[in-house]
Amino acid sequence: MIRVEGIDVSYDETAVLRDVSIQVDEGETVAVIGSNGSGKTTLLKAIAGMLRTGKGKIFFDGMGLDRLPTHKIVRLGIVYVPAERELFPLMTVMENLELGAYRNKEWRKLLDIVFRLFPRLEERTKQLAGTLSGGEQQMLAIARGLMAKPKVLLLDEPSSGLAPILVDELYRQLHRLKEEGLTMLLTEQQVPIALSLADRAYVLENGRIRISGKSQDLLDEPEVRRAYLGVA
Amino acid sequence: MISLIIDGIIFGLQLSLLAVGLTLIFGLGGVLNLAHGQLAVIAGISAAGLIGAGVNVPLAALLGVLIAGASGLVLDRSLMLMAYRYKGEARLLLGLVLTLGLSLAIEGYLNYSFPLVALSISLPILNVTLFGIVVRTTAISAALIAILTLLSLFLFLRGTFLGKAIRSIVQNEVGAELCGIDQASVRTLIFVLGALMAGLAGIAQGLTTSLDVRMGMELTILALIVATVGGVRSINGTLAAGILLGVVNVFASFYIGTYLTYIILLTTAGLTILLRPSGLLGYWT
Amino acid sequence: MINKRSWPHYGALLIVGLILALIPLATGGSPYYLRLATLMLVYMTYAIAFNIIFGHTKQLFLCLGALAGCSAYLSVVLIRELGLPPVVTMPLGVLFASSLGAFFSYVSVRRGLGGIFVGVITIAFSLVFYNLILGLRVFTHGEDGMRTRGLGFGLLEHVLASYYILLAILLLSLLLYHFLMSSRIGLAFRALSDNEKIAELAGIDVTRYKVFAACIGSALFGIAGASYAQYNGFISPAIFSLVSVDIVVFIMVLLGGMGTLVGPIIGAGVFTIVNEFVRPLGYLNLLVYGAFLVVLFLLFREGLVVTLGKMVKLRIP
Repeated sequence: MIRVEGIDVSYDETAVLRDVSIQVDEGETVAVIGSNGSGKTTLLKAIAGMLRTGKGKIFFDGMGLDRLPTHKIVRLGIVYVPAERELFPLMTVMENLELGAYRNKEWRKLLDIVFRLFPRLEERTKQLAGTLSGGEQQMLAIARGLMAKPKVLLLDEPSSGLAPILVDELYRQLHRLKEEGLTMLLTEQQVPIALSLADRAYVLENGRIRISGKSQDLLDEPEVRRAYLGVA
Repeated sequence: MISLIIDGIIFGLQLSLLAVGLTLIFGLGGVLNLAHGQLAVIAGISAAGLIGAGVNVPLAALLGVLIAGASGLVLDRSLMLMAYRYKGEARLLLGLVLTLGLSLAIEGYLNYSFPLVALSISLPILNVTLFGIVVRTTAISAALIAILTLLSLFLFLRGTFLGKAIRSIVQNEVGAELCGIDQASVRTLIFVLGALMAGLAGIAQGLTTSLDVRMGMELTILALIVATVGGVRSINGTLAAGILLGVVNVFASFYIGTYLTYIILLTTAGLTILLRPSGLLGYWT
Repeated sequence: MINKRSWPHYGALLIVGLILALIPLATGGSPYYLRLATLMLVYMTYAIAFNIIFGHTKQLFLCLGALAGCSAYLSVVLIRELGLPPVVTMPLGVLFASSLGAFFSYVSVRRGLGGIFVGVITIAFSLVFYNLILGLRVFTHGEDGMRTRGLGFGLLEHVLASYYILLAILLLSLLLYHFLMSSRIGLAFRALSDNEKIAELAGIDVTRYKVFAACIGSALFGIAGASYAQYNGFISPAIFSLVSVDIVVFIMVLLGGMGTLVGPIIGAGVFTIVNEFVRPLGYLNLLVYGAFLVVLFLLFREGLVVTLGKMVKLRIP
């Protein structure tokens, strides 16, 4: 579904991604793991059209995404949920969700799905998004993304800033989404939980893909175990 | 005394009408449109020209407003594109200078080509007595125009989906983009709305007193003062600021005289800003 | 401060000074052209001041004409109404102008409302100034303007002497500019015009430097304005209007090169000539000014100094 071929992305003069290629097929959940600064967020932003790629191409269902502005990419079905969430703080939960569904005619149906996944949001529909707790904001950000009826959901460090118990709850919902067949590409610093959700994963280090493979295989990789799982 | 207050409120509503257009453009586009007053003048002069050519008054007024809106459209899709390429302070400065230059160009051209044109609309019935006070029908009409426009705007922003989209862009540009909202189109829409409102304010001015070709910069500055006092991102604040400054203006004019009124106005504005720097009512609601 | 790196600057100053000193000869005794040249000197001083305020600290002041006017009117009115000598009233005028400028800058920086606030507050003040002059008609003769002859500054009433006095003021302003910019203050200016937040983090008191720049720049406008009043023999609000001063000076500095030593001089010189063709157009001159402003700001922001410098492969200060 998404094919990234050998892209380079730089901020001003500094290269952040070098010759990165990944692939996400329909129905898959793929994780991109790596430490801080490895370029995970940059990769997602490049796919979402928020950053220009110097070299290489990105394809979605065979169509090149070159130079398309973000809002057009969203309408194509690639929905990006950033780590910063980027909610509308002075609007209610409901209004945030409505806006997520911007052009969607089936948004009421999607609302049901979203509330089933995140019942806490249903309790707080009239609350201003800026007053929600960290965990609730994360849920709202993902929920808003879902309202756009995504074909692929790009999640940037969904666990960031969340207490472990909330991370577990969040990933439970992500599992449900996966079961319903949603294609997802997520980045994470917390490797174990990401690999527990994802079918496949790529390890990004200093802007390059170091290893990739099925999650199970990666968990057995000594490099991965040493670097990310803290196991000697 | 009461009639002064009423005059003040009516003038204030006109100011608000003008200033809210400016606030919209700033809140959404991040540019301070120094050519705003000129848009009002364009509407007024076009209307005056049409009336002179025999078109009936309401139609001429409407056409004038539409011409102002069209000018806004052209402006947004040409000159402003340069400014939109940047963000934040750079965009602000560029927009300021570009619209300043444009304001001069428009003023120069209009004054050169139509030096003596002014819009002054009078209505068949001169006065009306409301609750025992005599009010000019022109003043009432101007006030009605302002009230209806502001009300429609309010309903639009609160009730419609597009309105919500607009508010969302003001609160978080990135978030809006991620929701698939095409900011450029919405920005153009807002710019045209702002231009239309400026046009309506010009017509209103033609009703209450008169609007002549040279008033462009002065109108812009008034709008700027009101918008700054009200908080450049708050429509409600701008509305309140307009009425407040309108009343202050009328009282000052009456007791002190027109010229020194500006000092009073600026002092009031200055005080309000010092006391409440983020504007009278804070953020957009 | 006199080191090898300053030599091009002093060289440039010398060249400029020489050229300008010789201009009265070039005008061949024509009083019109001498007057034009003298006016040009005043605008050159304005341009240097604008360069300090906007070119170096990015504060878009749109009331500079009004400030010059305040200084001019105040100094003249005080002579007339209170009988004080110009040597007292002119400094008072300058003080008034620089205090106002510093005030506007301080309020804008403190309130953190950014670049727009300075623009708004100053453009509003330019309107206030105009209305003030009209309102205080008793003292200022309103729109008609005031004759300013016989007020005590005899030297400035002599045509040729005035030229050289104003030239001296100009050259002193240039020197001031040079010393400012080659000092720590100039370094701070460069830092904060690049990125204010980072400058603040690096320990530079942005507020102090911006207000200082505004104060000095406004003072220069005050000096030029008050001197002009004595020299010209006549002042009116139109002479100090937004269009006459602020816009024209902006164009001059953009044309010549912001942030450079001789840019404002060159820009003022060139534009004075251009203006001679534009003025007879009547109101259409506004159109030309507006076009100049837009085109220069969009396409030619580095100015003549840099462009010429590239052509001759020299760094003109």
